Amino acid sequence: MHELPKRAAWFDETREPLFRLLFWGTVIAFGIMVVAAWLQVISRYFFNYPLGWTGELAQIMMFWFTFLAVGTLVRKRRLMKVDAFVIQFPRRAQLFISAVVNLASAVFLGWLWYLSLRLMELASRQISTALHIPYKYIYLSLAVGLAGAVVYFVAIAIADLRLACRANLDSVPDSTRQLEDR
Amino acid sequence: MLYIILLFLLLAAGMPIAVGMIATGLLYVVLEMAMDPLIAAQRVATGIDSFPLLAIPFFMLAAELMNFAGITDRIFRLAKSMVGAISGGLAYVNVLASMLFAGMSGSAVADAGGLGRIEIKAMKDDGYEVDFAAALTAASSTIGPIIPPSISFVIYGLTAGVSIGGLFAAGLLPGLMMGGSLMALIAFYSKKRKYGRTQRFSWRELKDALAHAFLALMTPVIIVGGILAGIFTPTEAGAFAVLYAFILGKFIYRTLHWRDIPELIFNTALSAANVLFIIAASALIGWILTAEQVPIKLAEMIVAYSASPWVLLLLINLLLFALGCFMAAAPVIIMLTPILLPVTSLMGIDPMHLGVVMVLNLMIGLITPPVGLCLFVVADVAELPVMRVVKSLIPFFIPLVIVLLLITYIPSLVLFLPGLLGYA
Repeated sequence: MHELPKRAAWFDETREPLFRLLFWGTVIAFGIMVVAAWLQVISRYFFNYPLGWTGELAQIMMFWFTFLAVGTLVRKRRLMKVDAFVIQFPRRAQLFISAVVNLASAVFLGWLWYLSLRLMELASRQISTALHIPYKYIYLSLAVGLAGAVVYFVAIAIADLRLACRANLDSVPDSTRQLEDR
Repeated sequence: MLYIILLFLLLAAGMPIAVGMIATGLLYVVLEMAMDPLIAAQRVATGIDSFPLLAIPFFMLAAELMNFAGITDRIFRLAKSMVGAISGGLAYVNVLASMLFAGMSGSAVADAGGLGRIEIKAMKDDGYEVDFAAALTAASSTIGPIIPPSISFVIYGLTAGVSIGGLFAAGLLPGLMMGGSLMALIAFYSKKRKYGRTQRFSWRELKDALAHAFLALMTPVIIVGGILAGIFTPTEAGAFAVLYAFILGKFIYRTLHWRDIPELIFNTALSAANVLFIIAASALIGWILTAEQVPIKLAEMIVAYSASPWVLLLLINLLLFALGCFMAAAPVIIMLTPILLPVTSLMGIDPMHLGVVMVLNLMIGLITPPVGLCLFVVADVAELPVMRVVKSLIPFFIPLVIVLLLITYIPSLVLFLPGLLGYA
């Protein structure tokens, strides 16, 4: 679809700090995951002394970067989807459908976010095997990532709805497909 | 059935695939199973709780780093020095370079976007029609995930519980067949359109190009050789590939700078998370399907109708082809494998064979409209309308579909090498 309209100043203001938070959170978690896996390979093959905690740390960081990235993927409208049918509709109808779908997505992920908080509570006494990290800090990644995703779904729904209600849609950029994903 | 229709409706309306799965799963758990939906959150959260899954982001980052490090230029020069002297030389170079790059990256989009840029420009400068160059680049990029290593094989192997090393071995011969069949088509075109040579053959240039690309060429030897020899697990091989590509880019080729790394990591993380989030969501759907015994019931139903494996494989191919026209490969693999595997296993079809058929079919889907990632990337690189590339692509489907049918109905083409290496 199109980029979010620049006019929505309130949206930009709330977006930037959240976007930066998700960006650096994702990069740091991914970086730690890579370094932990390198340590595992190096310690095992070059020193014949496998470190027990590296694999677990890499896995925990995979949780964190995956769920943190979900928010950014929503923001960039890059979550994998089937858009072949929707693009057959006129522009205004596309925007209405997008607003409804994004709002529905926010509701369902909001529900899952609430459940993830309950899950954290339930797992508060469980600890990981090697690093002894309480599981609630691992599941926190789901709660934080989903919270970001819900905020962006709502923001995109509002932006699309506002665009759909515009009298003239000529200035709205046309649909683009995402080319980055494998 | 109602919930399957609901899922399809949500997806058709443009809801993200993972969110559609979560929505359907939550509603099913609450309304049909009358259970606490907490189980849904637990399934999604633990859906990616697996060490082997780390291989997916690692192979993606390795492909990204290799493109960034300028390995594609070296591979292109090597391919040119090898086959550039034949009539239609650059077209052969296009396919050969894709085959060599396939041994390093495992991603069709990385091939189409990275190598494709060099290939299309070189062919255009050499007088080839840009439509032909773009179509050939798109077709040859599909070899990437068939010749090992392959991100799609990693996803299938983890979903199906099949040896990833075995799948890598199984993909080698079909990948070479794809390259060979595309070259046969090029030979036909070269004769018909009287394409010329690109350069004279020179041992000296071949030697120089080989030296230039030597370290890059070591990547498949280390990754695939390491896995097949049982030295590395696929996850460790992925981590090692990242380390190797990083050292090449940062310290040897000096094309990678510290300032580029956050953006590079971020882009890879987004691509990987896109797949991993679907895997997490599919864990919920998978749990529901298992609890309701859907795959087993479906398998029994198909076996009761006594369809032969031949017919079943044909139907699977048609289904995958149809889905591949609308969806990316990864979600189709993640969603369909748990459903198809029990049926095909009952019919005596080897899971490794099914995996290669699935992935090869879905790679053809990457160049079919209306949703074909490689098609869009190549059209973007060639600055052509998508439908013009599609028109030129039509003849290229013939060799690719022939290879698909051959590997579908002659399983030994897939299973011979894994058998030889002790995987089958």
